[in-house]
Amino acid sequence: MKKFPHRPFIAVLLAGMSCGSAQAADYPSEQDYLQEFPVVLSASRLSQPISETPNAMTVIDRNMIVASGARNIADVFKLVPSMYVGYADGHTPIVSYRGITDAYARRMQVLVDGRSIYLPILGQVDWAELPLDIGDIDRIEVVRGPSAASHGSNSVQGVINILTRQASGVSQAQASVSKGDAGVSDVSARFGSMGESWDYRVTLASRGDSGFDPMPSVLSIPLNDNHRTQLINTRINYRPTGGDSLDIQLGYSYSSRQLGDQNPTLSSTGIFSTLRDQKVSSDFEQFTWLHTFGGDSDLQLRYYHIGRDTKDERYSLSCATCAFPLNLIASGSYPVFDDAVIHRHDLEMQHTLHTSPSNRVVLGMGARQDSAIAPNNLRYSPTWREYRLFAHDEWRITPASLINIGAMAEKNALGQTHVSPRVSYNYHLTPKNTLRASVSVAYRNPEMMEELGNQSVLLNKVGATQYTWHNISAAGGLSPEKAISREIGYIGQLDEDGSTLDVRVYHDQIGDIIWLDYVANTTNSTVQPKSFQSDFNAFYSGLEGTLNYRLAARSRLTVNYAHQVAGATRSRVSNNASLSPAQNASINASLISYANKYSETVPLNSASLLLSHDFSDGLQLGVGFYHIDPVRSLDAGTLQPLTRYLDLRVAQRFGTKRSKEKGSGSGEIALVVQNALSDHYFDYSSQTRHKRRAYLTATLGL
Amino acid sequence: MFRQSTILLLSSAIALLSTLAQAETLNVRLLMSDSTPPYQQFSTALSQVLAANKVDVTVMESQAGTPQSGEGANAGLVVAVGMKAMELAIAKFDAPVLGVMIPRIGYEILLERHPAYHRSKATSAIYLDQPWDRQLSFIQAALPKHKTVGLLYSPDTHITLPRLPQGMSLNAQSTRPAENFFVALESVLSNSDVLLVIPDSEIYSSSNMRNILLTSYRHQVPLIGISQAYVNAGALGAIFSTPEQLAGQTVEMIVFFARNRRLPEPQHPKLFSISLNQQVARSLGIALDSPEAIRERMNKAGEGRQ
Repeated sequence: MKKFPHRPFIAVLLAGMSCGSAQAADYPSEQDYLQEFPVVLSASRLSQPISETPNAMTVIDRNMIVASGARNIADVFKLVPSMYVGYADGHTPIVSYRGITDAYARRMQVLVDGRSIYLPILGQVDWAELPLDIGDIDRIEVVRGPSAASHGSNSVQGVINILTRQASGVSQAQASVSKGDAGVSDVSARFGSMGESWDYRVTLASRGDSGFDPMPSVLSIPLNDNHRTQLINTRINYRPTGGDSLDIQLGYSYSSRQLGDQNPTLSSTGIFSTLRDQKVSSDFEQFTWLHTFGGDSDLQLRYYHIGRDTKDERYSLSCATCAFPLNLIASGSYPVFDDAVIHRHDLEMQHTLHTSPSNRVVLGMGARQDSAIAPNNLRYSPTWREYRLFAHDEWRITPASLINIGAMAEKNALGQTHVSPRVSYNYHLTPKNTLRASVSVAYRNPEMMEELGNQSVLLNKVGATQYTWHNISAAGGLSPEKAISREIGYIGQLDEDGSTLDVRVYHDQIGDIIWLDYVANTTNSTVQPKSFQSDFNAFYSGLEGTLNYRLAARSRLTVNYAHQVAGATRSRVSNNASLSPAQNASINASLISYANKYSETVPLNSASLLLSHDFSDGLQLGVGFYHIDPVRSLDAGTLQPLTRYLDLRVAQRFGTKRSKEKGSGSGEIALVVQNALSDHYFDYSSQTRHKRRAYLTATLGL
Repeated sequence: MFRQSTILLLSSAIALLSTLAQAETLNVRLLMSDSTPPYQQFSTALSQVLAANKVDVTVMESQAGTPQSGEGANAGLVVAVGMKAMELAIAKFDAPVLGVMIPRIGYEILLERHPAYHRSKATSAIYLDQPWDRQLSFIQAALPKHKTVGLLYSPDTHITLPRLPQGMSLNAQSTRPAENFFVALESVLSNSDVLLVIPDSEIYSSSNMRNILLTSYRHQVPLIGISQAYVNAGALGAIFSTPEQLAGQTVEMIVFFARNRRLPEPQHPKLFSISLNQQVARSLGIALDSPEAIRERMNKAGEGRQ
């Protein structure tokens, strides 16, 4: 063995060297070399590198979230290719992968630390009232493509997986205040501690603004669009032994949101939307126990509960000039209680093990119970239970090739059993260039509203008999939507600094898309209630790519691009014997019309760009630019025109070096200007005008 | 899961040395800090190498802290295993002392505290630490694209920062776990390609390791440890010397002493093992060579420097 040449050292003898000699045993001992540690990066904690995942994946880390200037979690998803982000109003963002057919992005699973926040009754994520502060997000992984085998039910077109800071992730107490245009007024405070066997963090936050302005060409009166959400969120990690870890997450939020039209005279059928405050309280409790058997095998048991209580009381005023049946409304008001209480309980066991150095298996089972009480919207108060079994295997056949194969079998609440398989083959052409081909199947289960929806309003005409107007009366008997996806992708490492290029082409088919029936006819005596049926078969094809480029050590550029094509054909011909031939013809015409418009639900081209640069003196710059070709949501009706906007963030850190090390007294002032170049655009809702919006955020370390 | 290459080049060297064994039997007192496995492994390996090579020494083993540990006036050489034994040997024994399984800085501090002893008696050591050059050479050989080496140390630790080879840079930061440790950790990780562990119990304590590994993993920065335990916990790799490897070198030193009645200069371990965690490497998207190929590259680089 060759002895290493003894080279001269630049000796930096630290303070302790000379002053530490007083105590008897105060010297470094061999114990630093001999101590044992529990396995930390165990089988289930190691994720696959992007070049080996079975699906295309977008990762957004905390630096990107900060640089984007986003105040709302939903805005962050503008940095995902093919992701649509729009607003139904100031506090109802819509996040939807593959364009937007309607306000409820039903074909995407959304998880926060493994907890599904894609909730009944409608199948949606209420981003505004999540008991989660954007500052507590560590990282977001977006799986682009079906992933039921790994992420469970409803992972049809994609999965958003939000990972929050670890319990040990807040070692410095911090307070932050934001003030700005549109009534932006946010405060947050977080603190935490790290110990031998306990870590915890706590966040308190209140965020609110006055929402959007009305689009002058459409509305001449102000929008009723204020909202405020207050929340507390905590995460605790307890490690009773080296191989066991118990993660406890708790959260509660209360939000108050203004809804409804200022206009006291309602002019069209179906508007029961008077001025009101919707109050929503949400809570969750999650317990995850992870047991590590050496480094090669982990067992995880997770239970969580989500509760959500909505109070929303709207009503209609009398409207003699309205179309039937609203003309039945006499003086006085007819309240509609959109109150809903939902509870989700979910229990899952997962076992991850390396069966050999070249093979990793994940298998497990889970059960979920969703219950809802929503008398004004559902036929009865259902308790739905579903069960799932899943297995996934990553097998490295040769050093250059990897196969991911997996499936989930589930029995849904309607008693139907389906298997969602996925197979992908990743081949490293060279260590830096990888090709991936994948085929997968996934199902979207019907939502409670689709299967059991029952919206009825008792209307009263003075001097006449009562009339119950059934707006929705679901026929039931639905089957899940089925998606088949095929893709070919390329993942390349461009240089030694971590620059990557990720491109894929795909073709997805979704069968039996469930859609709200067209109402055949309205007469002066009856209104046909709406139901939900499997009306369409759709396809989605396209190309999407992400370039992550390290311009310099402190500069990062991310460019996303998507080219999308979609289309649909009707899968149903209305031939209802209880309807007249003219009514059936009218329904069939509307189905064809919807199918024809389906291609407009995706923007042909969309792109986003995020540039971040750290100047050496603590100055940070973030620039986000977004481009979306025209797109039409089928339920909103209005075509969203070509939209381009620019967001800017400039931040200056301050504090002396010493105080930075200590934490106290360090801080940051940030100015964010959203929509910096334009002052007049709209997205999902043509009534709302997105103006330039600037706000200042001051953050102080305590 | 972990590949470990253990090299046993010892037999040939020892066989050569054994022929030089002297007529007079050397009494060696083996003084152990502890009876836990690493020390026991060392003791067992030492007996085996001595027996296998017919080195003519008698070994009397005792443990620091036991009543008989101080006895041994007739010992010709004390081999002190660990710092506790080393301190006791210096204080209680008249014979020359060879310290093994001790960190270099620990040895130097101890001698500084006993200057009189140092002047009057022969001491030497086989350190437990790998020399900086070897560690940096390992990083270069295993991770040729990882140029910036991050280093975290507590203000009280005793380290001499290394001079780096061409093309590498060092990002060292002092921190205390009690004071905003994570701010310092995140700052080092943000500007480093690899985090090199140093023996610093204040930072790399068993309670901190979990968070250090999770945070560095999140930053996609591999950790290079200083023992197999680090690799098992989730470090990308480590180079270290096993008790068996150190025992071989100790026998060489004993034989040298038996022949020359003086001890060689303190030295770093000659033999070392390379341990890699391929699962972690794969997850970080790092293509690691085999330990053999890495060792080969280290040897080549070492020759190049000479």
